[in-house]
Amino acid sequence: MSNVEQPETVAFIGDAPSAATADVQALLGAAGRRARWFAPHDADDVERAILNGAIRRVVFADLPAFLETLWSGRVALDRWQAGGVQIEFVRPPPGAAGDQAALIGAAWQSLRHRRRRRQIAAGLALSAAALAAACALLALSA
Amino acid sequence: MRALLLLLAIPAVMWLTQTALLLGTRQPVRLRISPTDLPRRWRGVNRVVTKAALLAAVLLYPLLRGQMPLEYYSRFFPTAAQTWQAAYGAAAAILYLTLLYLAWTLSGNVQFEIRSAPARLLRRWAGAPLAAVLIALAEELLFRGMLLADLLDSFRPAVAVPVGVVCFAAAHYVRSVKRHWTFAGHLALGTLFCLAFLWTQALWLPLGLHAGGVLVLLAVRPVIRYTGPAWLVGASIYPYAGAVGVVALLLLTANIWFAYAPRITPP
Repeated sequence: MSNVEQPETVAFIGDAPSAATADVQALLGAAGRRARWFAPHDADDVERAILNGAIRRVVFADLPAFLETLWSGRVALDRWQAGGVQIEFVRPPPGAAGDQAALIGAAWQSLRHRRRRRQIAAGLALSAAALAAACALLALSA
Repeated sequence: MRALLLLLAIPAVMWLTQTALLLGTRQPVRLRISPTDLPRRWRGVNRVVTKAALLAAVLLYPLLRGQMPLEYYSRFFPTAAQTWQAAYGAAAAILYLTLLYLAWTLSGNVQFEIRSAPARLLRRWAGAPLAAVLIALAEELLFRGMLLADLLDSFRPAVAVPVGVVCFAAAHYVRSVKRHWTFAGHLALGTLFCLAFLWTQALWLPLGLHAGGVLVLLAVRPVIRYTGPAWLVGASIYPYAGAVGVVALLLLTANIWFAYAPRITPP
């Protein structure tokens, strides 16, 4: 057992390298904290680290990045709050409520747009497979 | 052409009934056939008159030809051997629709979501097979047994089938409807049923295809929500009206052609 206090580990969820990456390193370095980077699609790894107690703070580039992660369904904010996890932004959201609503709306639209594209691609591919299977089965049984 | 005239008389009867009901409830008369503004009990009367008009057309047509209805329609339900065509048609429609719903569920274009109370859901499911057979039987007797058979008596198949298809599709838009983009789907559906009738000269196969499709739609409707784009997967009871549905109907028509179209034997 060592009494030497380890620097606090902070999770940064975002695309790397991005403009925010340098900013977050500077922000955390100045506070003497270590950052551990997680890609947005690995956000469920942050969940595990939080449950293990390895991470108590999570940093996002901005509010839209946080909301996109949230709406992706990969993180459970209620568990983060229950565990006392602090959420920070490299670029803090503007104070006015109207601005935040606009940001939330824009992020949601962006997510929906990407999700819809994936839905269409998957729908087309799986429909083609289903149609091929049905057609082949009927042709063989005829 | 008698069948076409009888068919055209149905919307006329529907409009006259609606007009009488509107005048009876002191509401303005309108050209569009839509029961929405009618009081609830008059809507029931309207529905009964519409169904009676459909039944009257189906029964009147053989009588105009000098035949009894049973005698006329029984020729479209030949021998036990061909009865299996109904089972094949139903199985084919159920196979296509089930695989498509599976693909759409896996790709997030459709979500499983129970939208009615369990008791009501069970009642709906219990009544679905009979409803599917009755709906399919009524439409097949009217559009294939009466209309298409009559058109085939007067015209070549290359003319009779397209006219039969357009009449079948247009009939779904006589009453005011929420969606009009489903028309292409109705054309593809009509093509499938008309060709199935043409190739087998019987109602077993189109009846099976029709009833199988309606059965899946009735069973699935209360437990799914469409989340994908309508142009791709359709909506409500119109999964065949999206792009994938139309392609599915064309492929199913090809399957039916492969299985049932008369082959020309080389000399």
